[in-house]
Amino acid sequence: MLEVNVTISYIHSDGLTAALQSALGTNKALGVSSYGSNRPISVWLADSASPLEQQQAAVVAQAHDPVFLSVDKTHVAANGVDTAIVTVFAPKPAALVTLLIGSTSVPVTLANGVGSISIVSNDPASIPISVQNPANRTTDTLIVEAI
Amino acid sequence: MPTTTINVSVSGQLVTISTNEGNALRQSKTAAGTNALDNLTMAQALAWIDANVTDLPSARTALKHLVKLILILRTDLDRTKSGL
Repeated sequence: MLEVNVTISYIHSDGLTAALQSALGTNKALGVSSYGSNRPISVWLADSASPLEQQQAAVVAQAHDPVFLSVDKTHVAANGVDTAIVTVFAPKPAALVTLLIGSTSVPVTLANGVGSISIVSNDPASIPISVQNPANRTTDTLIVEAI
Repeated sequence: MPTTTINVSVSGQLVTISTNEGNALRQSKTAAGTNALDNLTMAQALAWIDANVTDLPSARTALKHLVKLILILRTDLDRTKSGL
């Protein structure tokens, strides 16, 4: 197994792994490891990865623009009042994040990489929340149930 | 996984969700207006009928109230089931 070290502070492991596998294939890109924000990450490649593919892996990792989603509650009352707060963390400088609520784009205002949106529902529904254009960013998808 | 389509309204950083079934319920309630039978207990509703249904026009009025209740209950049930 080959190791490629890349210095980036934050990674979304699943998002970066998916991007690497999309670029190099699942047989070449095996995964990533991180050791805290002060140490380079490890990109693990198969022994068969060529020097060019190792370089390509480093480029993909350097372009990684992670987005982390969390929500304070997964169930809300469908009364138009009870509120779920979705918090977005995108640590890369100048990162922009647009969420998809269902199929609707919702830009998120970030301050120092952190932003949030509030969701209320007038009716019972299952509300999917994801990131628009998530490639090399995240694999997070949240579901808030309004009941 | 529910199959109902959600309608999303965005105002700044506040997102409000509704569904077609919920909108149908709200439209039904608006169209129905006030209903003398709303919020009555069983005994009160039966007493209301005794006191108010005395001829054909008043029976028609009572029947309308009853139909309003049934249709609103039906749309409310559709709304609830759509979120399951």
